[in-house]
Amino acid sequence: MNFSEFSFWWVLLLFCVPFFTVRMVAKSFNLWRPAFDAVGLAAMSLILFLNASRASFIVFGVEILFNYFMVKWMLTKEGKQARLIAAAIIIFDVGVLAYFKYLTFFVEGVIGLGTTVPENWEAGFPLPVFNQIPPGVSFYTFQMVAFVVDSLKARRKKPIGLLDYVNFVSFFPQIVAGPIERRSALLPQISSFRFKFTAENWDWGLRWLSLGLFMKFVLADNIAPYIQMDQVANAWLVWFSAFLFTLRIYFDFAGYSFMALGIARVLGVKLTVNFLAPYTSQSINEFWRRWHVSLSTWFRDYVFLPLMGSRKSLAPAFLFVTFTLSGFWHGAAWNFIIWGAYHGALLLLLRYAGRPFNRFVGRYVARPQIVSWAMTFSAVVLGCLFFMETNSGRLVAKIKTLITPWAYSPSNFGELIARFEGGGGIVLLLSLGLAITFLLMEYWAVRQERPEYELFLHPWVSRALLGMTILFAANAPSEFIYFDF
Amino acid sequence: MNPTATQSQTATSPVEAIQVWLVQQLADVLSLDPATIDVTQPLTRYGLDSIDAVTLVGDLEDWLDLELPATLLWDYPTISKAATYLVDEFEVTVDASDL
Repeated sequence: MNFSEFSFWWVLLLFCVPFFTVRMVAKSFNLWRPAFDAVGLAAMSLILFLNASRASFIVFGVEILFNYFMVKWMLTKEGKQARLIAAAIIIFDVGVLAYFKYLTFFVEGVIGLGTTVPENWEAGFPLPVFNQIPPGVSFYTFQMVAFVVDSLKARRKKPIGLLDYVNFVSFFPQIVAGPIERRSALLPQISSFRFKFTAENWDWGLRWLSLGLFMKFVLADNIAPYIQMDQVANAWLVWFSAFLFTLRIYFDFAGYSFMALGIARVLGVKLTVNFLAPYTSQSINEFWRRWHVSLSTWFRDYVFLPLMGSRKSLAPAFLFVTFTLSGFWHGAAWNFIIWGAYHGALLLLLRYAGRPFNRFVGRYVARPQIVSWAMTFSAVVLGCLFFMETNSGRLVAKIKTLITPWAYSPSNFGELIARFEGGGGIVLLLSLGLAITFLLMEYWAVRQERPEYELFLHPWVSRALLGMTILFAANAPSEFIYFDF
Repeated sequence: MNPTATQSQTATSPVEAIQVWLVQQLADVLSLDPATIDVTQPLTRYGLDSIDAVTLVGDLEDWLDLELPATLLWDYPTISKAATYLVDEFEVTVDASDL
Protein backbone atom coordinates (compact mmCIF):
# COMPACT_ATOMS: atom_id res chain seq x y z
CA MET A 1 0.00 0.00 0.00
CA ASN A 2 1.18 3.47 -0.73
CA PHE A 3 1.00 5.24 2.61
CA SER A 4 1.82 8.55 0.94
CA GLU A 5 -1.31 8.41 -1.22
CA PHE A 6 -4.40 10.14 0.04
CA SER A 7 -6.60 7.37 -1.38
CA PHE A 8 -5.01 4.77 0.94
CA TRP A 9 -6.04 6.67 4.08
CA TRP A 10 -9.40 7.63 2.58
CA VAL A 11 -10.35 4.03 1.70
CA LEU A 12 -9.07 2.88 5.10
CA LEU A 13 -11.30 5.43 6.81
CA LEU A 14 -14.29 4.59 4.62
CA PHE A 15 -13.93 0.96 5.60
CA CYS A 16 -13.06 1.42 9.26
CA VAL A 17 -15.81 3.84 10.31
CA PRO A 18 -18.78 1.63 9.32
CA PHE A 19 -17.02 -1.63 10.16
CA PHE A 20 -15.98 -0.67 13.68
CA THR A 21 -19.28 1.08 14.35
CA VAL A 22 -21.15 -2.12 13.48
CA ARG A 23 -18.64 -4.11 15.53
CA MET A 24 -19.14 -1.89 18.58
CA VAL A 25 -22.92 -1.97 18.34
CA ALA A 26 -23.01 -5.72 17.71
CA LYS A 27 -20.71 -6.31 20.66
CA SER A 28 -22.99 -4.33 22.94
CA PHE A 29 -25.87 -6.63 21.94
CA ASN A 30 -23.61 -9.67 22.22
CA LEU A 31 -24.10 -10.43 18.53
CA TRP A 32 -20.48 -10.13 17.40
CA ARG A 33 -18.64 -13.37 16.76
CA PRO A 34 -14.83 -13.30 17.21
CA ALA A 35 -14.40 -14.80 13.72
CA PHE A 36 -15.87 -11.61 12.23
CA ASP A 37 -12.63 -9.83 13.15
CA ALA A 38 -10.69 -12.13 10.83
CA VAL A 39 -13.24 -11.56 8.06
CA GLY A 40 -12.97 -7.81 8.64
CA LEU A 41 -9.18 -7.84 8.38
CA ALA A 42 -9.29 -9.88 5.17
CA ALA A 43 -11.88 -7.52 3.68
CA MET A 44 -9.83 -4.48 4.75
CA SER A 45 -6.64 -5.88 3.18
CA LEU A 46 -8.29 -6.96 -0.06
CA ILE A 47 -10.23 -3.71 -0.55
CA LEU A 48 -7.05 -1.68 0.03
CA PHE A 49 -5.15 -3.91 -2.41
CA LEU A 50 -7.93 -3.55 -5.00
CA ASN A 51 -7.75 0.23 -4.55
CA ALA A 52 -3.96 0.17 -5.05
CA SER A 53 -4.05 -1.82 -8.30
CA ARG A 54 -6.90 -3.70 -9.96
CA ALA A 55 -4.62 -5.61 -12.33
CA SER A 56 -2.39 -6.71 -9.48
CA PHE A 57 -5.41 -7.72 -7.43
CA ILE A 58 -6.53 -10.26 -10.04
CA VAL A 59 -3.04 -11.80 -10.25
CA PHE A 60 -2.84 -11.85 -6.46
CA GLY A 61 -6.28 -13.49 -6.14
CA VAL A 62 -5.31 -16.30 -8.52
CA GLU A 63 -2.01 -16.85 -6.69
CA ILE A 64 -3.67 -16.95 -3.27
CA LEU A 65 -6.16 -19.61 -4.30
CA PHE A 66 -3.58 -21.69 -6.17
CA ASN A 67 -1.10 -21.56 -3.28
CA TYR A 68 -3.68 -22.26 -0.60
CA PHE A 69 -5.19 -25.36 -2.23
CA MET A 70 -1.83 -26.71 -3.35
CA VAL A 71 -0.29 -26.29 0.13
CA LYS A 72 -3.36 -27.93 1.63
CA TRP A 73 -2.87 -30.88 -0.74
CA MET A 74 0.87 -30.94 -0.01
CA LEU A 75 0.19 -31.25 3.72
CA THR A 76 -1.76 -34.45 3.13
CA LYS A 77 1.23 -36.09 1.44
CA GLU A 78 4.59 -37.28 2.71
CA GLY A 79 8.15 -37.50 1.45
CA LYS A 80 8.81 -37.29 -2.27
CA GLN A 81 5.19 -36.56 -3.21
CA ALA A 82 5.07 -33.59 -0.83
CA ARG A 83 8.39 -32.29 -2.17
CA LEU A 84 7.13 -32.57 -5.78
CA ILE A 85 4.01 -30.57 -4.96
CA ALA A 86 6.14 -27.96 -3.16
CA ALA A 87 8.40 -27.71 -6.21
CA ALA A 88 5.37 -27.26 -8.49
CA ILE A 89 4.01 -24.43 -6.32
CA ILE A 90 7.38 -22.67 -6.20
CA ILE A 91 7.87 -23.00 -9.97
CA PHE A 92 4.41 -21.53 -10.51
CA ASP A 93 5.03 -18.60 -8.11
CA VAL A 94 8.46 -17.81 -9.52
CA GLY A 95 7.08 -18.25 -13.05
CA VAL A 96 4.39 -15.63 -12.40
CA LEU A 97 7.04 -13.27 -10.99
CA ALA A 98 9.33 -13.91 -13.96
CA TYR A 99 6.52 -13.32 -16.45
CA PHE A 100 5.47 -9.97 -15.03
CA LYS A 101 8.88 -8.69 -13.99
CA TYR A 102 11.57 -10.21 -16.19
CA LEU A 103 10.02 -11.05 -19.57
CA THR A 104 10.81 -7.74 -21.26
CA PHE A 105 14.33 -7.68 -19.83
CA PHE A 106 14.95 -11.26 -20.91
CA VAL A 107 13.86 -10.58 -24.49
CA GLU A 108 15.36 -7.11 -24.95
CA GLY A 109 18.25 -7.14 -22.46
CA VAL A 110 19.48 -10.74 -22.75
CA ILE A 111 18.35 -12.13 -26.13
CA GLY A 112 18.84 -8.63 -27.55
CA LEU A 113 22.54 -8.82 -26.69
CA GLY A 114 23.15 -11.57 -29.23
CA THR A 115 20.53 -10.92 -31.87
CA THR A 116 18.32 -8.13 -33.14
CA VAL A 117 14.93 -8.17 -31.47
CA PRO A 118 12.17 -6.54 -33.56
CA GLU A 119 10.83 -3.35 -31.99
CA ASN A 120 7.26 -4.65 -31.95
CA TRP A 121 8.10 -8.13 -30.62
CA GLU A 122 5.33 -7.71 -28.03
CA ALA A 123 2.71 -7.82 -30.80
CA GLY A 124 3.84 -11.26 -31.92
CA PHE A 125 4.26 -12.66 -28.41
CA PRO A 126 1.59 -15.23 -27.47
CA LEU A 127 0.94 -13.61 -24.05
CA PRO A 128 0.25 -9.98 -23.13
CA VAL A 129 3.44 -8.08 -22.22
CA PHE A 130 3.33 -5.66 -19.32
CA ASN A 131 5.49 -2.56 -19.09
CA GLN A 132 4.94 -2.19 -15.35
CA ILE A 133 5.10 -4.92 -12.75
CA PRO A 134 2.01 -5.36 -10.55
CA PRO A 135 2.69 -3.67 -7.19
CA GLY A 136 3.85 -6.02 -4.46
CA VAL A 137 4.36 -9.09 -6.66
CA SER A 138 8.06 -9.37 -5.71
CA PHE A 139 7.30 -9.22 -2.01
CA TYR A 140 4.23 -11.42 -1.72
CA THR A 141 5.74 -14.03 -4.05
CA PHE A 142 8.66 -14.39 -1.63
CA GLN A 143 6.32 -14.60 1.34
CA MET A 144 4.27 -17.30 -0.42
CA VAL A 145 7.38 -19.29 -1.41
CA ALA A 146 8.72 -19.13 2.16
CA PHE A 147 5.35 -20.35 3.41
CA VAL A 148 5.47 -23.37 1.10
CA VAL A 149 8.99 -24.33 2.25
CA ASP A 150 8.25 -23.74 5.94
CA SER A 151 5.01 -25.75 5.69
CA LEU A 152 6.89 -28.60 4.01
CA LYS A 153 9.50 -28.60 6.79
CA ALA A 154 7.03 -28.12 9.66
CA ARG A 155 7.05 -30.92 12.18
CA ARG A 156 3.31 -30.68 12.72
CA LYS A 157 1.45 -30.73 9.41
CA LYS A 158 -1.53 -28.91 10.81
CA PRO A 159 -3.91 -27.72 8.06
CA ILE A 160 -4.51 -23.99 7.82
CA GLY A 161 -7.86 -22.32 7.15
CA LEU A 162 -8.39 -20.28 3.97
CA LEU A 163 -9.23 -17.12 5.92
CA ASP A 164 -6.05 -17.39 7.99
CA TYR A 165 -4.01 -17.93 4.83
CA VAL A 166 -5.62 -14.93 3.10
CA ASN A 167 -4.80 -12.78 6.14
CA PHE A 168 -1.25 -14.16 6.26
CA VAL A 169 -0.39 -13.26 2.66
CA SER A 170 -2.53 -10.16 2.22
CA PHE A 171 -1.97 -8.36 5.54
CA PHE A 172 -2.21 -4.84 4.17
CA PRO A 173 0.54 -3.00 6.09
CA GLN A 174 3.26 -5.22 4.64
CA ILE A 175 1.94 -6.83 1.45
CA VAL A 176 3.33 -4.35 -1.08
CA ALA A 177 6.82 -3.64 0.23
CA GLY A 178 7.44 -5.98 3.14
CA PRO A 179 8.76 -6.80 5.65
CA ILE A 180 8.65 -10.30 4.13
CA GLU A 181 7.25 -12.25 7.05
CA ARG A 182 7.74 -15.93 7.88
CA ARG A 183 5.17 -18.48 8.84
CA SER A 184 6.62 -18.90 12.34
CA ALA A 185 6.55 -15.16 13.06
CA LEU A 186 3.31 -13.97 11.48
CA LEU A 187 0.97 -16.95 11.26
CA PRO A 188 0.49 -17.37 15.04
CA GLN A 189 -0.45 -13.68 15.27
CA ILE A 190 -2.78 -13.83 12.26
CA SER A 191 -4.50 -17.19 12.86
CA SER A 192 -8.00 -16.70 14.25
CA PHE A 193 -7.23 -12.99 14.13
CA ARG A 194 -8.69 -10.61 16.72
CA PHE A 195 -8.24 -6.84 16.70
CA LYS A 196 -6.30 -5.85 19.82
CA PHE A 197 -6.73 -2.10 20.16
CA THR A 198 -4.98 -1.83 23.52
CA ALA A 199 -3.49 1.41 24.84
CA GLU A 200 -0.04 -0.16 24.56
CA ASN A 201 -0.55 -1.13 20.91
CA TRP A 202 -1.83 2.34 20.02
CA ASP A 203 1.07 3.95 21.85
CA TRP A 204 3.80 1.86 20.21
CA GLY A 205 2.05 1.85 16.85
CA LEU A 206 1.89 5.64 16.73
CA ARG A 207 5.52 5.93 17.81
CA TRP A 208 6.70 3.72 14.93
CA LEU A 209 4.34 5.49 12.56
CA SER A 210 5.71 8.92 13.59
CA LEU A 211 9.26 7.70 13.04
CA GLY A 212 8.38 6.30 9.60
CA LEU A 213 6.52 9.44 8.55
CA PHE A 214 9.46 11.63 9.59
CA MET A 215 12.00 9.49 7.74
CA LYS A 216 9.95 9.38 4.55
CA PHE A 217 8.32 12.80 4.28
CA VAL A 218 10.93 15.01 5.95
CA LEU A 219 14.25 13.31 5.24
CA ALA A 220 13.80 11.21 2.07
CA ASP A 221 11.41 13.51 0.23
CA ASN A 222 13.33 16.72 0.97
CA ILE A 223 16.57 15.15 -0.29
CA ALA A 224 15.06 13.50 -3.40
CA PRO A 225 14.74 16.62 -5.64
CA TYR A 226 18.49 17.33 -5.39
CA ILE A 227 19.59 14.00 -6.85
CA GLN A 228 20.85 14.82 -10.34
CA MET A 229 20.76 11.76 -12.53
CA ASP A 230 21.75 13.45 -15.79
CA GLN A 231 25.15 14.76 -14.66
CA VAL A 232 27.87 12.46 -15.99
CA ALA A 233 31.01 14.55 -16.57
CA ASN A 234 31.58 16.09 -13.15
CA ALA A 235 32.99 13.54 -10.67
CA TRP A 236 32.02 15.67 -7.65
CA LEU A 237 28.41 15.81 -8.82
CA VAL A 238 28.32 12.09 -9.55
CA TRP A 239 29.59 11.29 -6.04
CA PHE A 240 27.32 13.84 -4.40
CA SER A 241 24.22 12.53 -6.19
CA ALA A 242 25.13 8.97 -5.23
CA PHE A 243 25.59 10.15 -1.61
CA LEU A 244 22.18 11.86 -1.62
CA PHE A 245 20.60 8.76 -3.14
CA THR A 246 22.25 6.63 -0.42
CA LEU A 247 20.55 8.75 2.23
CA ARG A 248 17.27 8.90 0.35
CA ILE A 249 16.86 5.18 -0.24
CA TYR A 250 17.43 4.39 3.43
CA PHE A 251 15.03 7.02 4.76
CA ASP A 252 12.49 6.15 2.08
CA PHE A 253 12.46 2.39 2.52
CA ALA A 254 13.06 2.25 6.27
CA GLY A 255 10.43 4.98 6.64
CA TYR A 256 7.96 2.82 4.73
CA SER A 257 8.86 -0.26 6.78
CA PHE A 258 8.39 1.59 10.07
CA MET A 259 5.03 2.98 8.96
CA ALA A 260 3.99 -0.61 8.16
CA LEU A 261 5.29 -1.69 11.57
CA GLY A 262 3.31 1.08 13.29
CA ILE A 263 0.01 0.42 11.48
CA ALA A 264 0.34 -3.34 12.12
CA ARG A 265 1.07 -2.71 15.80
CA VAL A 266 -2.09 -0.62 16.19
CA LEU A 267 -4.01 -3.69 14.96
CA GLY A 268 -2.14 -5.86 17.45
CA VAL A 269 0.44 -7.46 15.11
CA LYS A 270 4.21 -7.20 15.60
CA LEU A 271 6.18 -7.15 12.35
CA THR A 272 9.93 -7.62 11.83
CA VAL A 273 12.08 -4.52 12.29
CA ASN A 274 13.44 -4.46 8.75
CA PHE A 275 16.31 -2.00 9.29
CA LEU A 276 18.79 -1.77 12.14
CA ALA A 277 20.69 1.49 11.56
CA PRO A 278 22.60 0.13 8.52
CA TYR A 279 24.78 3.21 8.00
CA THR A 280 26.49 2.71 11.36
CA SER A 281 28.07 -0.51 10.00
CA GLN A 282 31.81 -0.97 10.15
CA SER A 283 31.90 -3.77 7.56
CA ILE A 284 29.85 -4.92 4.58
CA ASN A 285 28.92 -8.05 6.56
CA GLU A 286 27.47 -5.89 9.27
CA PHE A 287 25.73 -3.72 6.69
CA TRP A 288 23.84 -6.74 5.34
CA ARG A 289 22.81 -7.75 8.84
CA ARG A 290 21.27 -4.31 9.27
CA TRP A 291 19.84 -3.56 5.80
CA HIS A 292 16.48 -4.97 4.67
CA VAL A 293 16.74 -7.72 7.25
CA SER A 294 13.74 -9.75 6.08
CA LEU A 295 15.05 -9.94 2.49
CA SER A 296 18.62 -10.79 3.53
CA THR A 297 17.46 -13.62 5.77
CA TRP A 298 15.06 -14.80 3.04
CA PHE A 299 17.92 -15.15 0.55
CA ARG A 300 20.06 -16.81 3.19
CA ASP A 301 17.43 -19.41 4.12
CA TYR A 302 15.79 -20.09 0.74
CA VAL A 303 18.63 -19.53 -1.74
CA PHE A 304 22.13 -19.56 -0.20
CA LEU A 305 21.76 -22.51 2.19
CA PRO A 306 19.64 -24.78 -0.09
CA LEU A 307 21.85 -24.03 -3.13
CA MET A 308 24.96 -24.89 -1.17
CA GLY A 309 23.56 -27.95 0.60
CA SER A 310 26.45 -30.00 1.91
CA ARG A 311 28.99 -28.45 -0.52
CA LYS A 312 30.32 -26.14 2.17
CA SER A 313 33.71 -25.78 0.51
CA LEU A 314 31.93 -23.92 -2.29
CA ALA A 315 30.26 -21.49 0.14
CA PRO A 316 32.10 -18.41 -1.26
CA ALA A 317 30.86 -19.13 -4.80
CA PHE A 318 27.30 -19.66 -3.60
CA LEU A 319 27.46 -16.48 -1.55
CA PHE A 320 28.44 -14.54 -4.66
CA VAL A 321 25.66 -16.16 -6.71
CA THR A 322 23.12 -15.41 -3.97
CA PHE A 323 24.04 -11.73 -3.86
CA THR A 324 23.90 -11.47 -7.64
CA LEU A 325 20.42 -13.03 -7.60
CA SER A 326 19.43 -10.67 -4.80
CA GLY A 327 20.46 -7.77 -7.03
CA PHE A 328 18.36 -9.21 -9.86
CA TRP A 329 15.36 -9.43 -7.54
CA HIS A 330 15.52 -5.67 -7.10
CA GLY A 331 14.92 -5.02 -10.75
CA ALA A 332 14.99 -6.43 -14.26
CA ALA A 333 18.02 -4.47 -15.47
CA TRP A 334 21.76 -4.98 -15.73
CA ASN A 335 22.56 -2.30 -13.17
CA PHE A 336 20.78 -4.29 -10.43
CA ILE A 337 22.67 -7.44 -11.37
CA ILE A 338 25.93 -5.47 -11.25
CA TRP A 339 24.92 -4.01 -7.87
CA GLY A 340 24.25 -7.48 -6.45
CA ALA A 341 27.49 -8.91 -7.86
CA TYR A 342 29.39 -5.88 -6.52
CA HIS A 343 28.15 -6.55 -2.98
CA GLY A 344 28.91 -10.25 -3.31
CA ALA A 345 32.43 -9.39 -4.46
CA LEU A 346 32.85 -6.94 -1.57
CA LEU A 347 31.93 -9.66 0.92
CA LEU A 348 34.51 -12.00 -0.57
CA LEU A 349 37.12 -9.23 -0.64
CA LEU A 350 36.43 -8.52 3.00
CA ARG A 351 36.69 -12.20 3.83
CA TYR A 352 40.06 -12.76 2.20
CA ALA A 353 41.70 -9.36 2.55
CA GLY A 354 39.77 -7.72 5.38
CA ARG A 355 41.51 -9.31 8.35
CA PRO A 356 45.11 -8.63 7.25
CA PHE A 357 44.05 -5.12 6.23
CA ASN A 358 42.46 -4.47 9.62
CA ARG A 359 45.61 -5.66 11.38
CA PHE A 360 47.67 -3.32 9.18
CA VAL A 361 45.38 -0.34 9.83
CA GLY A 362 45.28 -1.15 13.55
CA ARG A 363 49.06 -0.76 13.70
CA TYR A 364 49.06 2.79 12.31
CA VAL A 365 45.68 4.29 13.19
CA ALA A 366 44.54 5.08 16.73
CA ARG A 367 40.84 4.48 15.99
CA PRO A 368 40.66 1.92 13.15
CA GLN A 369 36.89 1.62 13.53
CA ILE A 370 36.55 5.10 11.96
CA VAL A 371 38.53 3.90 8.92
CA SER A 372 36.37 0.76 8.75
CA TRP A 373 33.17 2.82 8.92
CA ALA A 374 34.37 5.31 6.27
CA MET A 375 35.40 2.52 3.89
CA THR A 376 32.12 0.66 4.41
CA PHE A 377 29.99 3.75 3.88
CA SER A 378 31.98 4.77 0.77
CA ALA A 379 31.54 1.26 -0.65
CA VAL A 380 27.78 1.50 -0.02
CA VAL A 381 27.63 4.91 -1.74
CA LEU A 382 29.46 3.55 -4.78
CA GLY A 383 27.05 0.61 -4.80
CA CYS A 384 24.15 3.06 -4.78
CA LEU A 385 25.51 4.55 -8.00
CA PHE A 386 24.98 1.15 -9.67
CA PHE A 387 21.60 0.81 -8.02
CA MET A 388 20.19 4.23 -8.96
CA GLU A 389 21.33 4.32 -12.59
CA THR A 390 19.13 2.08 -14.75
CA ASN A 391 20.50 3.59 -17.97
CA SER A 392 23.49 1.34 -18.77
CA GLY A 393 25.19 3.84 -21.10
CA ARG A 394 25.00 6.60 -18.53
CA LEU A 395 26.22 4.26 -15.80
CA VAL A 396 29.33 3.40 -17.81
CA ALA A 397 29.93 7.12 -18.49
CA LYS A 398 29.67 7.89 -14.77
CA ILE A 399 32.09 5.12 -13.82
CA LYS A 400 34.55 6.46 -16.42
CA THR A 401 34.18 9.90 -14.87
CA LEU A 402 34.87 8.56 -11.38
CA ILE A 403 38.18 7.04 -12.49
CA THR A 404 39.27 10.09 -14.49
CA PRO A 405 41.55 12.27 -12.33
CA TRP A 406 40.80 15.57 -14.13
CA ALA A 407 37.06 15.07 -13.58
CA TYR A 408 37.87 16.08 -9.98
CA SER A 409 39.09 19.54 -11.03
CA PRO A 410 38.54 22.59 -8.78
CA SER A 411 36.29 24.11 -11.44
CA ASN A 412 34.06 21.03 -11.31
CA PHE A 413 33.96 21.39 -7.53
CA GLY A 414 32.96 25.04 -8.01
CA GLU A 415 30.16 23.87 -10.31
CA LEU A 416 28.89 21.53 -7.58
CA ILE A 417 28.77 24.40 -5.07
CA ALA A 418 27.17 26.77 -7.60
CA ARG A 419 24.36 24.31 -8.30
CA PHE A 420 23.17 24.44 -4.72
CA GLU A 421 23.43 28.15 -4.06
CA GLY A 422 20.30 30.09 -3.13
CA GLY A 423 17.08 29.01 -1.39
CA GLY A 424 17.18 25.44 -2.68
CA GLY A 425 20.66 25.03 -1.26
CA ILE A 426 19.51 26.10 2.19
CA VAL A 427 16.69 23.52 2.15
CA LEU A 428 19.19 20.86 1.12
CA LEU A 429 21.63 21.97 3.81
CA LEU A 430 18.93 21.83 6.49
CA SER A 431 17.73 18.42 5.26
CA LEU A 432 21.29 17.10 5.30
CA GLY A 433 21.78 18.56 8.80
CA LEU A 434 18.68 16.71 10.02
CA ALA A 435 19.68 13.50 8.23
CA ILE A 436 23.20 13.51 9.66
CA THR A 437 21.90 14.29 13.17
CA PHE A 438 19.51 11.36 12.75
CA LEU A 439 22.37 9.04 11.77
CA LEU A 440 24.51 10.27 14.68
CA MET A 441 21.69 9.46 17.09
CA GLU A 442 21.53 5.95 15.60
CA TYR A 443 25.29 5.66 16.05
CA TRP A 444 25.01 6.71 19.68
CA ALA A 445 22.39 3.98 20.32
CA VAL A 446 24.49 1.31 18.59
CA ARG A 447 27.59 2.36 20.51
CA GLN A 448 25.69 2.17 23.79
CA GLU A 449 24.44 -1.30 22.74
CA ARG A 450 20.87 -0.08 22.98
CA PRO A 451 18.06 -0.80 20.48
CA GLU A 452 18.88 1.14 17.29
CA TYR A 453 15.79 3.36 17.24
CA GLU A 454 15.23 3.62 21.00
CA LEU A 455 15.89 7.36 21.09
CA PHE A 456 13.38 8.08 18.31
CA LEU A 457 10.74 5.95 19.97
CA HIS A 458 10.90 7.86 23.24
CA PRO A 459 7.39 9.36 23.76
CA TRP A 460 8.57 12.98 23.66
CA VAL A 461 10.99 12.51 20.78
CA SER A 462 8.27 10.68 18.88
CA ARG A 463 5.87 13.62 19.34
CA ALA A 464 8.61 16.03 18.27
CA LEU A 465 9.17 13.95 15.10
CA LEU A 466 5.45 14.08 14.31
CA GLY A 467 5.44 17.85 14.83
CA MET A 468 8.47 18.25 12.58
CA THR A 469 6.78 16.09 9.93
CA ILE A 470 3.77 18.42 9.94
CA LEU A 471 6.04 21.46 9.69
CA PHE A 472 8.77 20.28 7.34
CA ALA A 473 7.26 17.55 5.15
CA ALA A 474 8.17 18.02 1.50
CA ASN A 475 5.47 19.72 -0.56
CA ALA A 476 5.61 17.09 -3.26
CA PRO A 477 6.06 13.57 -1.85
CA SER A 478 8.12 11.32 -4.10
CA GLU A 479 7.24 7.72 -4.94
CA PHE A 480 8.37 4.98 -2.60
CA ILE A 481 11.46 3.60 -4.34
CA TYR A 482 10.73 -0.03 -3.48
CA PHE A 483 7.29 0.08 -5.13
CA ASP A 484 9.09 -0.36 -8.45
CA PHE A 485 10.53 -3.67 -7.30
CA MET B 1 31.12 -21.45 33.36
CA ASN B 2 33.03 -18.22 33.33
CA PRO B 3 31.94 -16.29 30.22
CA THR B 4 35.53 -15.99 29.06
CA ALA B 5 36.32 -19.47 27.96
CA THR B 6 39.94 -19.86 28.84
CA GLN B 7 39.44 -22.92 30.99
CA SER B 8 39.36 -25.31 28.07
CA GLN B 9 40.33 -28.35 30.01
CA THR B 10 37.85 -27.87 32.84
CA ALA B 11 34.69 -28.73 30.89
CA THR B 12 32.50 -30.81 33.14
CA SER B 13 29.16 -30.85 31.35
CA PRO B 14 28.17 -31.36 27.69
CA VAL B 15 27.24 -27.67 27.41
CA GLU B 16 30.68 -26.63 28.64
CA ALA B 17 32.40 -29.17 26.42
CA ILE B 18 30.65 -27.82 23.33
CA GLN B 19 31.45 -24.27 24.39
CA VAL B 20 35.12 -25.13 24.75
CA TRP B 21 35.15 -26.82 21.34
CA LEU B 22 33.44 -23.85 19.69
CA VAL B 23 35.84 -21.38 21.35
CA GLN B 24 38.80 -23.37 20.03
CA GLN B 25 37.34 -23.56 16.52
CA LEU B 26 36.47 -19.88 16.47
CA ALA B 27 39.95 -18.96 17.68
CA ASP B 28 41.48 -21.11 14.92
CA VAL B 29 39.24 -19.79 12.14
CA LEU B 30 39.58 -16.14 13.06
CA SER B 31 43.19 -16.26 14.38
CA LEU B 32 42.13 -15.03 17.80
CA ASP B 33 43.41 -15.65 21.30
CA PRO B 34 40.82 -18.02 22.89
CA ALA B 35 41.11 -16.01 26.10
CA THR B 36 39.53 -13.01 24.39
CA ILE B 37 36.40 -14.90 23.33
CA ASP B 38 33.37 -14.31 25.49
CA VAL B 39 30.81 -17.10 25.01
CA THR B 40 27.92 -14.76 25.73
CA GLN B 41 28.81 -12.27 22.98
CA PRO B 42 27.39 -12.54 19.43
CA LEU B 43 29.76 -14.46 17.15
CA THR B 44 29.53 -11.70 14.55
CA ARG B 45 31.34 -9.42 16.99
CA TYR B 46 34.48 -11.47 16.36
CA GLY B 47 34.12 -11.13 12.59
CA LEU B 48 32.37 -14.43 11.86
CA ASP B 49 30.81 -14.20 8.39
CA SER B 50 28.21 -16.34 6.59
CA ILE B 51 30.82 -18.66 5.09
CA ASP B 52 32.51 -19.21 8.47
CA ALA B 53 29.11 -19.83 10.06
CA VAL B 54 28.10 -22.60 7.65
CA THR B 55 31.59 -24.12 7.72
CA LEU B 56 31.60 -24.15 11.51
CA VAL B 57 28.21 -25.88 11.58
CA GLY B 58 29.59 -28.45 9.12
CA ASP B 59 32.56 -29.11 11.40
CA LEU B 60 30.24 -29.34 14.37
CA GLU B 61 28.12 -31.91 12.50
CA ASP B 62 31.23 -34.00 11.85
CA TRP B 63 32.38 -33.74 15.46
CA LEU B 64 28.99 -34.58 17.01
CA ASP B 65 27.96 -36.95 14.20
CA LEU B 66 24.62 -35.17 13.94
CA GLU B 67 22.64 -33.42 11.24
CA LEU B 68 22.23 -29.83 12.37
CA PRO B 69 20.22 -26.91 10.98
CA ALA B 70 22.45 -24.83 8.71
CA THR B 71 21.05 -21.68 10.35
CA LEU B 72 22.18 -22.82 13.83
CA LEU B 73 24.62 -19.96 14.41
CA TRP B 74 22.10 -17.36 13.18
CA ASP B 75 19.28 -18.76 15.28
CA TYR B 76 21.56 -19.12 18.31
CA PRO B 77 24.12 -16.37 17.74
CA THR B 78 26.34 -16.85 20.79
CA ILE B 79 28.46 -19.84 21.77
CA SER B 80 26.54 -20.14 25.00
CA LYS B 81 23.11 -20.20 23.29
CA ALA B 82 24.24 -22.61 20.56
CA ALA B 83 25.73 -25.05 23.08
CA THR B 84 22.65 -24.97 25.30
CA TYR B 85 20.39 -25.51 22.28
CA LEU B 86 22.42 -28.50 21.09
CA VAL B 87 22.26 -30.20 24.47
CA ASP B 88 18.57 -29.44 25.03
CA GLU B 89 17.41 -30.28 21.52
CA PHE B 90 19.68 -33.19 20.57
CA GLU B 91 20.56 -34.46 24.04
CA VAL B 92 24.21 -34.31 23.03
CA THR B 93 26.69 -36.04 25.26
CA VAL B 94 30.36 -35.25 24.82
CA ASP B 95 33.32 -36.97 26.33
CA ALA B 96 35.86 -34.46 27.63
CA SER B 97 38.59 -36.56 25.99
CA ASP B 98 37.07 -35.69 22.59
CA LEU B 99 38.15 -32.09 23.02
